[in-house]
Amino acid sequence: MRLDRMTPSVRRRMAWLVAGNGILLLVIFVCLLSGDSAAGAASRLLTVLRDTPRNIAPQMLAAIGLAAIIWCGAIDLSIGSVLAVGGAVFAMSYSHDASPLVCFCGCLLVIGGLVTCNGLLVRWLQIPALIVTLAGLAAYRGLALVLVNLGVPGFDGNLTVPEEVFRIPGRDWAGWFLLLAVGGAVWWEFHGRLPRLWLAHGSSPVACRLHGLDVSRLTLSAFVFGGFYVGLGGLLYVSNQQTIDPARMALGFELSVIAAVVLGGTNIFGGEGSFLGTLLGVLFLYLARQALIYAFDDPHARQAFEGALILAVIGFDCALHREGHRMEELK
Amino acid sequence: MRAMVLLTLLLVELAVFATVSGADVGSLNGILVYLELKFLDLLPGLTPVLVLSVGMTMVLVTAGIDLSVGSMLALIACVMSSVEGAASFWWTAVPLGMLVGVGLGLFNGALVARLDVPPIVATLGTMIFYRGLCRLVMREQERAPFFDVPGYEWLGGFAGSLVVVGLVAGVGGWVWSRSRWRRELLLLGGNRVAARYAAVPVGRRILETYGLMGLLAFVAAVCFTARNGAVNASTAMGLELKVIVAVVLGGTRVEGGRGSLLGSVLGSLLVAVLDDGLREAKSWSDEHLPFEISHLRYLLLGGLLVGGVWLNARVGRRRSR
Repeated sequence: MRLDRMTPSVRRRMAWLVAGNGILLLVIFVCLLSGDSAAGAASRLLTVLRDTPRNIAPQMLAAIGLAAIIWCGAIDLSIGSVLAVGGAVFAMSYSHDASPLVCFCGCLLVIGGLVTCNGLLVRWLQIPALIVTLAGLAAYRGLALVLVNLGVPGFDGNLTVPEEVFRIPGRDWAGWFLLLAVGGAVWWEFHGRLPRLWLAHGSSPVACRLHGLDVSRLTLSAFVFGGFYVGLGGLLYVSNQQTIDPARMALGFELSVIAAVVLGGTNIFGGEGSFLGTLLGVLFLYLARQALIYAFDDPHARQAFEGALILAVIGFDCALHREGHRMEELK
Repeated sequence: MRAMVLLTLLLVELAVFATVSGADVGSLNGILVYLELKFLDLLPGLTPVLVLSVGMTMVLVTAGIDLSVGSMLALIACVMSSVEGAASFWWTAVPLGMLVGVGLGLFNGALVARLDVPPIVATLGTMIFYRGLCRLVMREQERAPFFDVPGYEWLGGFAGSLVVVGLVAGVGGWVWSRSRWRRELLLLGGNRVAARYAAVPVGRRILETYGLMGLLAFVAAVCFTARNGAVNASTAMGLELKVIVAVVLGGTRVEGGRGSLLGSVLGSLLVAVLDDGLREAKSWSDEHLPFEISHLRYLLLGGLLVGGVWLNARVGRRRSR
């Protein structure tokens, strides 16, 4: 592993997250221990760990895709709504008696295509990705609702998919998908050229342009890569749902993914970050949620604690590097 | 120029929806009656978005963003709703709400100005945090003490809304356009390093801006509760999107350094007329469209945002050439 390629702040954040994940595992173990013997608590902790890949796979894959887009200095706020369109296409295919493979492919292609379409719009219209995808956040949700109303006969708000075969990717294959996709992304980060160019573009688009690079094409390539990974994550997410409701599907999904990416050390303005850190960020949020479930009986307190935890980690990290940033700004 | 484009868009929207809803707009008198009824109906519901869009313009001018406005509004309303609806509400819940609003805004400001957390990240975190606090305060309940408070309902009517909008957008806008504070915000949004060298107290100005956003969230919460009468933990979800769309549509740059309150007011009107028009056109859509017309609202909102910003950027580029 060439960790020296990462900036010091990303390495430091990763060290924080490794320690944080360890502490959270300890907290979960202590919580389990309060109502069980040591052996019982250890076995329940193992169950939690065994279920982890399946539960975090959609967020993890989407976070890797989004991280690549953010490295370029762009962002995609519309991924939750894009997933809803994927769900609508899945529902349409299912209601027309399509085979599971057709449903899966349709969902994957539509999600990947829409994220790529965002990249094309950013390139052609030359307006900030924040605006294009903010518009997409609203527009794609509307598109999902229109599609499902037009394409599913007698649609009354949601569609239940009772057959188990339609849930194979999200339930049975999620861990393998995750292992392959994350392994591939991390290997590519350390050995590939494009991830470094994305980081360079996010760090200084002017320098990249002067070096002869086509920065708008670089951004588009990040959206294509992001589309593939968000598509995979979306497929796992959609195929894990028993009921498809495009009006509510993946609401707020983009927020949890962005929070995980930022928590993983990616600079929200681009030019800094790592897939490994993103992986640790997603894991940290998941373990924090699990710890809160075991620590608090009150489900209403969990969201507030989750928000406070995100703010505390990021705020503490930013405060530590405040002086350095200020000096850099004034140079 | 931009104001004229927005006004034209607004008129086109009004004309389309008047035709679709079958309103009598054949004569000048008919048009005037239609506009009067439309704005009598529209303004009270629009006031929270309008008030928040004034604050959001100032935040965006500093190259910041506040994604937590919807959660802030909800939390202020939830805290206020925990006080009994009686005359004492005016000197207990209202000052408490104001204190909470300013406190939440200052907390956002402190994260951005004192800890150097990027605004989009800071307010994304507080958006989740404040919504979580709403759930903690309200649980699964819905509370409605507001209509029992004497005189409170007036604020949710046309006259009350007009006074609030007049004070915030009219008087506030007039003061803002003449203030040194505005010029300092524009400078720090356009070039923060230059602002520091020009002896602008950057951190303090950012803190003040977010504090003001909190205060305006309180005003919006009062208008919202005075009109709706009830509040729960999911109140005003997604409101931030509407506000940001309205402000950006009005010509405020998301990168900071440029913004217009008049544009934001017109942008809010555009969004509100679109929302209302689609609701009114339901009977027409049931006959002519194979899906619910309200679903088109999201598509049109997105299209309007991209179209408006693209047009702004083109005009800007042509001018600079």
